[in-house]
Amino acid sequence: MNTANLALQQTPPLSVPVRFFITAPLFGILASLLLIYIGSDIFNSRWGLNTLALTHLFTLGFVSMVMFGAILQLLPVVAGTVIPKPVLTSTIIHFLLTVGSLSLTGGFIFGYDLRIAIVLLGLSFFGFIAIVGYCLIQVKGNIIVGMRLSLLALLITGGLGIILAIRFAYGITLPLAMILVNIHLTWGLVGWVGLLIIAIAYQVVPMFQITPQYNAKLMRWLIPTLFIILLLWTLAYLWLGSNIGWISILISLGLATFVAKTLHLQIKRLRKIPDVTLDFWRVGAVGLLLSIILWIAGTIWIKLANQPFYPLLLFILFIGGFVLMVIQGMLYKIIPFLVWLHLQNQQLNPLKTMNMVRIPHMKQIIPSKLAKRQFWVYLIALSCTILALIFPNLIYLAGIILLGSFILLEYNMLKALKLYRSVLISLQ
Amino acid sequence: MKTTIDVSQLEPCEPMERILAALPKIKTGEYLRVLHRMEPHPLYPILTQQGYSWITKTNKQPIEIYIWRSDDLVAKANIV
Repeated sequence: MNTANLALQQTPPLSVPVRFFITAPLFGILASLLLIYIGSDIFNSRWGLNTLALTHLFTLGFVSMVMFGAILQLLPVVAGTVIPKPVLTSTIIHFLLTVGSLSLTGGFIFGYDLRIAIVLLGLSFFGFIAIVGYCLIQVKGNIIVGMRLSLLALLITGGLGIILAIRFAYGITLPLAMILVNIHLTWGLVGWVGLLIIAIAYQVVPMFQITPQYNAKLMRWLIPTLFIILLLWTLAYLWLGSNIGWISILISLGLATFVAKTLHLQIKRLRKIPDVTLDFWRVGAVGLLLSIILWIAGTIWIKLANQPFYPLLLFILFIGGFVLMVIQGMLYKIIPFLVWLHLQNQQLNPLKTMNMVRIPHMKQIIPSKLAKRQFWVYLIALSCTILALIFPNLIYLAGIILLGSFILLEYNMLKALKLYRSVLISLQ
Repeated sequence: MKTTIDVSQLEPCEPMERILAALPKIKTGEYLRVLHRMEPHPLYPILTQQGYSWITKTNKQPIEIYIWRSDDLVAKANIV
């Protein structure tokens, strides 16, 4: 039995998570423009500075931006707690992350001094980790454990990222530099992003896709097990100086378990209604499965992993095919739900509401037709990017379509916020 | 006396809409029993604000939420 006693003030203002959500597609737009600018040169080097900038526009500017907003939104829902002074804190963190990401990628492209980026991103990561970590101390639950471990993974990723950026800014020669880069990107993609997606999926897949709950044992053990395997992999990598294939295969199998269970739950949906979020998640699951197969294949056949296309294809499948897919799918549920919830709360607040109006339904806030259109544009952009590995000149077309997809995503979200504002005005 | 509504197979935001629509119909001495597939955390602050109390039983699926007017001690005593 559980009795809760939350106050209405514990629902943070809509602006707290939404500022992160509407900034993310702007970074997607910048990334698309950079992709068009780099063009087929992207295939020449994994470590080119423009490629590094492109990677960080996606991982910091889009992915981490949405993840920060999602965590701030989920805290009251899963933990019954809110960050202190939510508007001020989120404004500062958002500013640091936005300007820090721009400074870092600008530094890579134009050769600016990276020291500003190091300070801004360092403050945003460690500030966010400290504040959210503090809120999570008192609470229990599988999702909470997942959020805590993904925050630890962010700490490792951010810490290593800062060390690597200092090395870059001051031209210091570091021992094991390439190993540190690989550890940084593995903790970032699998630890911070992967574990957090799994933790958030525990909450949002059953809630929004009307599936049964994830298996209790899986929810309890999967994230901590993956975290421990990642730690073992890191220690072994640092100790031996080479990637331990069987440990990285274990990580893949852990992620594959999550995909298999999610697809299984989606098949057992209680109400089988067409849903664009489900489309995003299904393609996302395929993207993750393909990247797992490629990863295992590259671990077994080193010759494959040494092919120039290999790291790019892995990156496109994991980030573009899995991470961006499921994040966009989640945005199409989280934003309409938040808009609806805040309007509902407003309507029920006698101090603020003068008129009773009909609150639009979630499906009216972002119509399925608009979301579906953006889904297809994004899917075509992704397909073109993969095909560009065979026909390099297709990369320009891929960049243009990707640009269109992020513009549509931003448009859809702004449209939802415009509707929120107009209903809010009619309530007052 | 109790009224039961089953929202366990409804998409957000329908469960909350159904629950909010059922609240004014709760009579003195009565309570509302809601069957839900997960804890409706966003509902709780609204219930507090509207003058309702609740108990959530999460030990089986679907979970049960019992809601009554905070000043109605008879309804509270009736909840098993």
